[in-house]
Amino acid sequence: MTMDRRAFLKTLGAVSASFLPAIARAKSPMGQSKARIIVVGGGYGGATTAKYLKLIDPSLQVTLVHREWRYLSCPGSNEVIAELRTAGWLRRSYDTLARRHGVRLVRGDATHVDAQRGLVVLRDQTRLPFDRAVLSPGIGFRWDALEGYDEETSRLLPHAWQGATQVELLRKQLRAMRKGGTVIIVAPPNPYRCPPGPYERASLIAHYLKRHNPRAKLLILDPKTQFSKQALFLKGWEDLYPGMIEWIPSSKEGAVERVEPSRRVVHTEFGQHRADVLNVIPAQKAGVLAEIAGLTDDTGWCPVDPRSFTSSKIPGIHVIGDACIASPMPKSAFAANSQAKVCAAAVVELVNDRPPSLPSLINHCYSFLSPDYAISVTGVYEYSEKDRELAATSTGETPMDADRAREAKYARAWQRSFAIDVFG
Amino acid sequence: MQPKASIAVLVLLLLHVTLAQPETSARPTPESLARPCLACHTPTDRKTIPLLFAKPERDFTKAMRQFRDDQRSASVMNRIARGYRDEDFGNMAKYFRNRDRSPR
Repeated sequence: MTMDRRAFLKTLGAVSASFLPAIARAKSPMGQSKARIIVVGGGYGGATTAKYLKLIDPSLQVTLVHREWRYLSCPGSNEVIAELRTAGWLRRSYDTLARRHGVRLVRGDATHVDAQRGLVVLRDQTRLPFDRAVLSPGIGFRWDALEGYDEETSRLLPHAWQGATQVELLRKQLRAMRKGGTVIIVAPPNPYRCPPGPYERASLIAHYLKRHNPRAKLLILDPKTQFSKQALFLKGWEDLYPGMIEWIPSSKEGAVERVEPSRRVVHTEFGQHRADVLNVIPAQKAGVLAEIAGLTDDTGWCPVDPRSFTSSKIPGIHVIGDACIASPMPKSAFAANSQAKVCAAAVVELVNDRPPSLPSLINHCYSFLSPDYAISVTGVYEYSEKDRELAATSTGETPMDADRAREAKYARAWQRSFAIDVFG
Repeated sequence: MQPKASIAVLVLLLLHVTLAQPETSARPTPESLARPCLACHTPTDRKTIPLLFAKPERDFTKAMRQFRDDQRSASVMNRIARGYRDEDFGNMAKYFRNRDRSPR
């Protein structure tokens, strides 16, 4: 294809996607498909899917549905809570996806997915027809999992696990905390978004307190007995914040049983702790749309075929990112990005009646313990024919003797690159 | 060799190849292997993380083997390189050699 022709088709694609009513799927003279793909959820998973669908097959009509015109990044939010960055730094725009890549943007709240008729329905009753739909609905919270902590309580005692308001609320509470006060983070049970996240948060809050409130303390009440990058975190806390962070696993105090919001007290099986700033990160499940659409199983998450991320429950619908079960991959933005690329390639094959090729995926998660001290965990994954699921072909963490400042330098470079790969 | 015997050998050979297939044959395509790399190795930021686009094939595979065998140190590449086979390195190299700046 010549450049002129490609440019022409791209323009045509953008025009038809923007202004023409949905047309039936048809093969173009180029042999490429003009299938309509709706991507719901403009986080890292959804944005990557939309972009790579257009990169791989520019003739596709790709629509990205998101609640807002912008996205607030979850990776990096701990740095904002600790006042190392401002909230504006977390904002991601969809402009480049629309302008450079020809993705059609629809702002709306998807409330229903009708797989049989091929329709995504928005709250305002707009109906978006599709040949295949990709859902990247993120997480929902299990508000019934911990007595005393529900959605209403979270408006006073933030989870700060997603959303600008929540992140800002925790930052402000931290800033206003009395001298020598206690911050308590209640960590969530597995599985949840960003396994090292609560511990990175503890580290960066300690970094903030060390500078602004040095007699303050931080407790992590954990329903688990171990956590991601544990040895590296414990070593880092010893090096950077001696005596400041205490991790209390369930093996020590039993389960986290209930929260008394008015007194900011957390009761464990064998004890109770009073907080000045209380951050409860609730138990999680797939985002609400996945549940409504019937894509979840008994675990609350979405089973998929990891060769294409097609739902095991409903054919023609793909689920990627935190909402899907892609074990042994963790739930992270990096994993969602890798899954999105596998899904986009598979969608292009499937709409052309070809089988998807074998998947290859990476996860790589950095955690900052201070601005110049970072650690990471890595995994490479492929499909195991024997187990019919993903298998790790390599996993590893920052070596104990490695240079943490170098990791921090790479972590910052990754933040820049990743924003470009997904939204650029 | 008698015709019958050679047919038997051929059948055995075919059988062997078929049985051995899950271990040795089907691998992800160059595109599938390379796309996850772009989460860090974007075409635009090259101050800290090296650019892979248009990299000569031999340099790429050599570097990946060295990372895998710990003959060259890096922040994360040693851990990542261990997840692939030699033929995967060749396939990734082909992907990057053939592309200037556009991911696809």
